[in-house]
Amino acid sequence: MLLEADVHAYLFLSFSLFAVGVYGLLSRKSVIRMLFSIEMIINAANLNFVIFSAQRNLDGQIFTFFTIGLAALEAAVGLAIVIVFYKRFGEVIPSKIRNLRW
Amino acid sequence: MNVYFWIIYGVIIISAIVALEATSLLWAAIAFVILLSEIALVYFGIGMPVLGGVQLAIYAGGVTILVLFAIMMIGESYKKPPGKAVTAIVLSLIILVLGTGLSFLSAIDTFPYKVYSTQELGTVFVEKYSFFTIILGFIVSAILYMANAIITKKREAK
Repeated sequence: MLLEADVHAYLFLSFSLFAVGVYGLLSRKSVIRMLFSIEMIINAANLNFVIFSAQRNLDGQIFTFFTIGLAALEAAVGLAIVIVFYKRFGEVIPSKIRNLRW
Repeated sequence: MNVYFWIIYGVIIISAIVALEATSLLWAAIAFVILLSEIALVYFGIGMPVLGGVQLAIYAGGVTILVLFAIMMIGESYKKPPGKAVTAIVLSLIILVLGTGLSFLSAIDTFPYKVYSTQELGTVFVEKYSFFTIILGFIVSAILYMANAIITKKREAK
């Protein structure tokens, strides 16, 4: 295997990616960058699933398939809402999204 | 110590930071593609080619094209906000140190890695998760229906 590193190294990679995602989610105010941050957090979780799956059984790998599908769905719905919001208000500011309330 | 792993680690973290900090959203999207492709490379490297292919097709392909279309449609309408950068950096560093420290202190077994064939993957998928896939399909349909309801909702007169 090309990338046969210690499991702690993979956990360090996963936590680093998670930390960068949390930083982006808290500090950025652009909706698209917040979406990037959410995807980074999901990918960090996927890395955890995958690395434990590589040591034990195939279940983590299959859950990662489901997670990837749902993350793509979430990105599509999020971007659709962003575009609707932009068409109505001419700008996309997350703190103003409460204007879309029913 | 695996040198390839640490090279990929550096590329992943640097591209993640560039995706958040680049001034142009187009460069941010390009850095995001690099990040997702490197994660697919990790999947290939630990012997999961199907998962790496799915990651490349859905994430690095589909999601990124969606983001690029969104950037083309709305442009960069909102720039340089006064964010809570210091709080965010401190909180993310706490998460990193605590998480990594606890993972080192915990009793995680370091079993040797196994390589599974695609046939084994398909067998487990069909035998254990076929019913779950049907339920997930209903959930996805419900989410898409609600998203359609949100997008096509008429604005109420005030």
